[in-house]
Amino acid sequence: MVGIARNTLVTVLVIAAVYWSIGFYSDALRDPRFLDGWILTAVMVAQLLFHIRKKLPASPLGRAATWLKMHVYLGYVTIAVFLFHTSFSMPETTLEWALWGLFVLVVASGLVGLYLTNSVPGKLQQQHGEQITFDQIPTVRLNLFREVDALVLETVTPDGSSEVSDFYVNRLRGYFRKPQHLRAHLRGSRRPLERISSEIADLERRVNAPDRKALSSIRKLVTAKFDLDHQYTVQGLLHSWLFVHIPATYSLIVLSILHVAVVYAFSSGVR
Amino acid sequence: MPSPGIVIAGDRTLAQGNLVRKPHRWDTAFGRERIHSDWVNLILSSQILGDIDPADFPDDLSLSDIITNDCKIRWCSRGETVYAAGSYETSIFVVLNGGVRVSDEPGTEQVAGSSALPQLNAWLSPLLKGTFGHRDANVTRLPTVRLGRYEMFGEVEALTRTPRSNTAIADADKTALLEITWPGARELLHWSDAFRYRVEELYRARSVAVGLKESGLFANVRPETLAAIAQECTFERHGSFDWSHVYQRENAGKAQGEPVIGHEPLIIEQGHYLEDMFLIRAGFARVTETAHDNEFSVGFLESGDVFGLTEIEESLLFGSHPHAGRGLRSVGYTDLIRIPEHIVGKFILSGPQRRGRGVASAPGRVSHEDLSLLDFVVDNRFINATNAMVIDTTRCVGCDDCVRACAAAHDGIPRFVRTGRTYANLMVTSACMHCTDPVCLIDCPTGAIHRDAFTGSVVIDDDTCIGCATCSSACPYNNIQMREVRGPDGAILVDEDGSTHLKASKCDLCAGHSGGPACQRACPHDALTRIDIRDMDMLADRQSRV
Repeated sequence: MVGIARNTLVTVLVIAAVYWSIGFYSDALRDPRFLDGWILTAVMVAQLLFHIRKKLPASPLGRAATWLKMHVYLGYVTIAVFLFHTSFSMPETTLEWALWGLFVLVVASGLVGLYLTNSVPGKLQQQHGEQITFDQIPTVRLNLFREVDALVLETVTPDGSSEVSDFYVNRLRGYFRKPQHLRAHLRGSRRPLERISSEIADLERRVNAPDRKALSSIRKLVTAKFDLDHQYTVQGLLHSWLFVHIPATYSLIVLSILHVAVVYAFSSGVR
Repeated sequence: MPSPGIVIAGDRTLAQGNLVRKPHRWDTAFGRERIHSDWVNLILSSQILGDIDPADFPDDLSLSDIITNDCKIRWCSRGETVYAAGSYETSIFVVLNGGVRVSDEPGTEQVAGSSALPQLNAWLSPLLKGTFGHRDANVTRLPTVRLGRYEMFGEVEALTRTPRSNTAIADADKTALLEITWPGARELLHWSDAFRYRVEELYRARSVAVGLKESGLFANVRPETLAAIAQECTFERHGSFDWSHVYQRENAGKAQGEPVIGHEPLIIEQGHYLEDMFLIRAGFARVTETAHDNEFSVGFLESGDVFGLTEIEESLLFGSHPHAGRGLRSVGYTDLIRIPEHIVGKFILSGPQRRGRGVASAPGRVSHEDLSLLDFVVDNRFINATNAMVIDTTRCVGCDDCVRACAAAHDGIPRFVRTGRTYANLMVTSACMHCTDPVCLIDCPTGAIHRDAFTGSVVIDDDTCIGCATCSSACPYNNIQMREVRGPDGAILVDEDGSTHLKASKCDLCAGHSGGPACQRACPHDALTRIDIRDMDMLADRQSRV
């Protein structure tokens, strides 16, 4: 907590210093947008250093955790400087709109990522205890599928039919083969699981004792698969925000360079 | 080296570049140079190694072959350091000519790696290496014991895989020493009863003397009195040096969730008559309490810790018979020194140096959660870990930056798997933990897996690893993998018998890279850390941090 308070204080002081510099620059009858523009560029470049650190994982360039902290706090400075640079107003031209949109996208995805990385692992731990590695989820899913397949096969009668196998083919096979109910998992709802469980409970009333025993085991596997899908969805979310954040960042860099070129090409007078 | 012209029998013909000669033991002799046959004959014909009988050795592992390949003659001039206290090499020495002085004061000559700044020492180690073999005037001034012709030394650390407890210095010019590397010593111990008796006798005698001295319990006692005390103390071993296989067998045999306590050798049962105080000399022991027929851990002891001090103190105070307030079990193996009650009363309880480090985690000071954590750590033998990779799963986002960093530091192949045993939010991953007692190196035929003499990290010498997988199967934590070796073109190398050319691979703490383990530095969320698990407070902090 002391660290967070200290970092926040430093961030606020940096923002205040930038604000004061812009005012000072403006008082000297110079166009402050050149100053805050270049400060914005500098801060964005500094944030990119974290990306470079990640690309060099074994380098002795300090701890990535420290770099990430710097990246985040500089992010807050970037937002403030961006607001100074745009004078708290909406864009006017197409290029400005594109820049503005990309900046908002980068910031929003970054904040979402920050929230997810700080909250999701803890929630997963609370809900599931032991976490399954994202790469291992397909293997675990396949094992569950095989297990339930074997259980159902045991209930099949010599004539090739059973109520359990019919229910499995119609209702559960697809459920076990692929990730399911992703939207429900995103909402944190367990309604789909309750629905399947209640259907199994209905079936249990109609079948003989051995099938009932098999259904009881199948019900446990259904719950295990539901929890696995939850892990898949949430862990997938943890990885996917970067697919927005990073391309948007690259696009923003390209447009920023274009923006600087255009500004200098068409500017005149006091800078 | 690729062997040109080798063709695999049968229908498999492989490109010549992918074929390599299968490496064998003794392809490279210890010290890179084989001992001259004159020396070998002299050693065999004299009593240098005691009553060792060459006939005890099998034909394919003759005594002369062992001496030729696993030993070397080391020449030292007067004042030259043979080994320094705190260093981790594990050879046994026999004086052939001249003499050696072994400093009686343990830990006076700390070398790099044994200090509080291991990383700095790791950086400096190339420079410090030069200090070995140098003349050190300070060391020669320490109180020493002189060892003469045919006397043996260094066996305590070789057997217990612990750092040197003292410093050995050559006492004469042209001192010649027979240095027996651990693989050689292991064969001699295995095949020759005479050699084994000699070494174990020395080990027991010296272990008591060194153990009492190192413990600090008798700091103000004069050396002759301490020698008399040592005569009254007894040495005991519980469990086995080679405990890894026993542990693995027991683990395989027991049901999931079944406690392992019951399988561990009992040293003393709670409530039993306690005639001596126990000083742990090497290995680990678990302190337990029994309530309603349920035995559970309340702490663990390691080298230098004592058991039974409070009970003996109370009994002397109230004039009653001491009984063990708690139970004690051996974890893996435990070497202990029994110190009789009257000596405890006379020299320890009345002395100013009484130590309060008996039971590390006494009940009353440990919360229920900590006891569960303790069980997790002891049951899984993680108390052995000096540098375990622990991941906080409430922070880990599964980005795999740690794995990528490891791969980047090791030619594209990561040296660990990001899975492992978990307790609450702590995952002890499958990365080498650089154990206090590294059982993986006991049976290595070439000594390729060894401890870095300076840092104590367990490392593998790729040049001498023959890919036999002995270390991999001995590791109780499955933290050593056998990996195929690839040639410069990326193709997997194949031995001349058609099998894949393998080498053992494990975490080396990024030896040779500055900045410490890359995995820890690469974790952006501060989820991964390398810690000494014996530091339970740090582990508990890690578990409960927000």
